[in-house]
Amino acid sequence: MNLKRVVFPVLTATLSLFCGFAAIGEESPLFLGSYFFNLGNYDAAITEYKRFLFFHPEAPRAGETYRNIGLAHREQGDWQEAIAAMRAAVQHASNREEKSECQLELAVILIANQHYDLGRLELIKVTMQNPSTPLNRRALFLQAVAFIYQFRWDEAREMLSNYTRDEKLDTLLENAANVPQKSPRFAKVLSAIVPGAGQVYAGKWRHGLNALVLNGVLGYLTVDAVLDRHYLDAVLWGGTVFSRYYRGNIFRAEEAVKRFNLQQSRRASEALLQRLQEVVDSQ
Amino acid sequence: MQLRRFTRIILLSAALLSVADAEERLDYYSPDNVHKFADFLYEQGDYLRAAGEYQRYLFYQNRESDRTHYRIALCYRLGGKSEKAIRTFETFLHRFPDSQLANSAHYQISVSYFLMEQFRQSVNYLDAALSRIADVRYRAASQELIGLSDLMQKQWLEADNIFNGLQESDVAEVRENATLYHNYAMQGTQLPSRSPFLAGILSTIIPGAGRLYTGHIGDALTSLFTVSLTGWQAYDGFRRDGLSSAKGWAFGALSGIFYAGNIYGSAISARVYNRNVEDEFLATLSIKLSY
Repeated sequence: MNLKRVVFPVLTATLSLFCGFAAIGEESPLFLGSYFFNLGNYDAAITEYKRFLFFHPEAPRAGETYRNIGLAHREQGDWQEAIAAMRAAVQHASNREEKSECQLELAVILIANQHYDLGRLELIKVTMQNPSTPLNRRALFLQAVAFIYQFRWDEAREMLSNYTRDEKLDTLLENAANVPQKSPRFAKVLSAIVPGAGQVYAGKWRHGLNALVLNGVLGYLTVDAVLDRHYLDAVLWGGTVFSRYYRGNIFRAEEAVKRFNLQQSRRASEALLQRLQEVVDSQ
Repeated sequence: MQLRRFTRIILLSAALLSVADAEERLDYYSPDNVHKFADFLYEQGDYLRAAGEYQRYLFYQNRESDRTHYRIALCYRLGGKSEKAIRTFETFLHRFPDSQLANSAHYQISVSYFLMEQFRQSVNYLDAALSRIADVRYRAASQELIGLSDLMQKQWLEADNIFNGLQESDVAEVRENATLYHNYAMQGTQLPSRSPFLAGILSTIIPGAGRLYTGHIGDALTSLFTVSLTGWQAYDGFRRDGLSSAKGWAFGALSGIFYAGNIYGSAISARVYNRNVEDEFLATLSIKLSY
């Protein structure tokens, strides 16, 4: 009986030791890669992952390894390499769930690179694969993020309605959809009537004042020349210098309003993304 | 009895697993496997990572290998780390002065300078190293590189002389390239150019004329208009109020500045014209390095 007690554990331990060595031996570049990755040495991690793939190009863990390479490249800011590796990860994924996960990571990288439509395409592919609920929710969430970056508030609202019910988020979306947008055409008309008025309308007081003074002086010189009957001077001042600044003032008024509108939308989008972050953190 | 049977099964399983393990276990970091992986990375164009693996191979191998040292330097060169490549090739030449790859290393150092657009340095290096390059192919390729450096420095006649001589080279590839580059150098000598001095003189006589000479009609009209307008205003001021006219002095000073700027700008414009013509011509040059 005593012999049994001693022999069984010893033999079992020996057996598991052999099995353990085999497993560790095969996957050591992956372990080392993960170790380097966790240390933040992404370049060394990529080398180890690539080493594994070189010796086991068709291994069941190839997809996961490509994914890790993609993530390491992403951490390094090598976006093109990250996208290429993540696409390879999608191709080598061993099952549908893993494929969806890789597509989600790919979408994140694409969205971070401002390839919003390409990112959403990957997310649509994920939702079409009937993934698990958490993956589906993440796909919806990322689609909403892409829409928010594109200032497409209604589509973002639709996506988020399937993701979460948050009153503050709804209010922010409502505000974003109704964010006050100024008319570039109206700014042009204003600056045509009173130089600088369009800039003031866009909230650029200093630029407006500058345009008013500059155009005022040049206009005065032109009118003064006419009143003094120096018509050649008037034509030269009015037809060249004044007209150039006057047209520039109208153009800049339009640009100022466009910038203003963009800034407003960006603010709304930042507020939304911040709230989304809070919602995610609280879940 | 039962225990003995169980022991047998366990031992048999362990033995089988150990055999299977021995067959399947892969030593990823054995020198041979590291070298294979490095070669793979090199083939994939992942040169800098390959360089690291070749270094790892040298460490594990614990044996000097001129071929691997050379490959590391080449990886740096191909990976765009030209300065590091030069240093590594120099170390290689210091360690293995009699290696067969020394010819190539000299050539690659010069190529690295060339790729860094240090054309003068590339020529200087090869001028000094040419006597040490015994291999006919690398010697011809090095002469070709000197010619290309001359072309890049817009020294058309020097380049033409070199490529003229290389048309008789024993190396077929260099001979073919030489014919192409010779024609190129010939065209280079016939590129249109503008004299900065003449451009300045023309603009002194008629504001904007120098710009017209360099093909900038818009700038020419602007110069003529600006100088004339401010000059006219100065004249008008002095005519009306005499020498005490503030308008006259203000516009006179402005006109003087524009006039001087117009002359200086015309001379610069001629230089820019020449540089643009040469750069545009050089942009059509397709450089194919032999090694």
